Amino acid sequence: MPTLEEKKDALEILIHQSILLDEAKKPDLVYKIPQMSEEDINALGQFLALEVKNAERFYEENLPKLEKFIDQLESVDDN
Amino acid sequence: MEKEKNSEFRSERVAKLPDYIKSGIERLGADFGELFKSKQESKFLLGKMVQDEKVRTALVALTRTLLNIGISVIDLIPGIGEVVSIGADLAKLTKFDLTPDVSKGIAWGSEILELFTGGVLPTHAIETTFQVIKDIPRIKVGLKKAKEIWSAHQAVVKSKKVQDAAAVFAPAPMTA
Repeated sequence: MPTLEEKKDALEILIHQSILLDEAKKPDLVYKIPQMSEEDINALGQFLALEVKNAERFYEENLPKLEKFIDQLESVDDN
Repeated sequence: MEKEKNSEFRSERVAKLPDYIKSGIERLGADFGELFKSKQESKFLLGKMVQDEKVRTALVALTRTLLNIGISVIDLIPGIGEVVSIGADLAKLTKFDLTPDVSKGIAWGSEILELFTGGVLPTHAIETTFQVIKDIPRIKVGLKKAKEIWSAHQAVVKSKKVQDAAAVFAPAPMTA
C-alpha cells in the first residue's frame, strides 16, 4: 500500500507526462499537490493513470497504421 | 436556390473524376481514418498534434485533398470525418480555397475546356491533380512530425518512471 508521500510524488510525475492537462496550468497543479486531500490525490491520480494506460494501448495499435500510411504516401510520390 | 445549383454543379464535377483517382484517395483516406475511429482518442491525440504547425498544415492539406475528391467519399470513411472537421476548422472553411496553389490561368483554362468537350473532360481533376502534387509533400512532412510526437509520448508513457507512478494508483486487486 503506497504512502501519501509516494502518492504525491507519483501524481507529480503523472501530471508532467499528461497530454490531457493544459500545459500552462501544470505548474500550478503541481504546486497545489501538498494542499490536496488524499481523496483528491487518489481521484486525479487514477484519472491520469488511466490516461497512461489508454495512450499506451492507442500507440500500440495506431502508430504502425500511421507508419503504414506514411509509407503509402511515399510510394505514391515515387510512382 | 443558388446554393442548390452550386452544390449540384460541385457534385457533377466531383463525379467526373476518374475512378482510379477516387479509389486511390479513398483507400488512403480509409487507412488514415482507421486511426481516428474512436472520437475520444481522436480529440485527445489530434488536440495534441494540431499544436504543431507542420501537423496543422498537413491536416489542412489532407482535408483539402479529400474535399477536392468529394464530400460523399469522406462521409463513407469511418473516423475521417473527425480529421476533416478539425482540418476545416483550422482552415476556416468559409474562406477555404480548395486549390490555393493552382494559378487562376490553369483553373479558368480548365473550365474553358468544358465548353469544348461538352463537360466530358474531368476538368476539376486537372486542378485537383495540380493541388495534390503540391499537397502530398506537406502531408508527408506533417504526418512524419505527427509520428514523432506520438513516438515521443509513447516513449514517455512506457518509461519505467511513468509506469511506476501509474501503478501507485492502480486499483487494488479484489480479494475473496
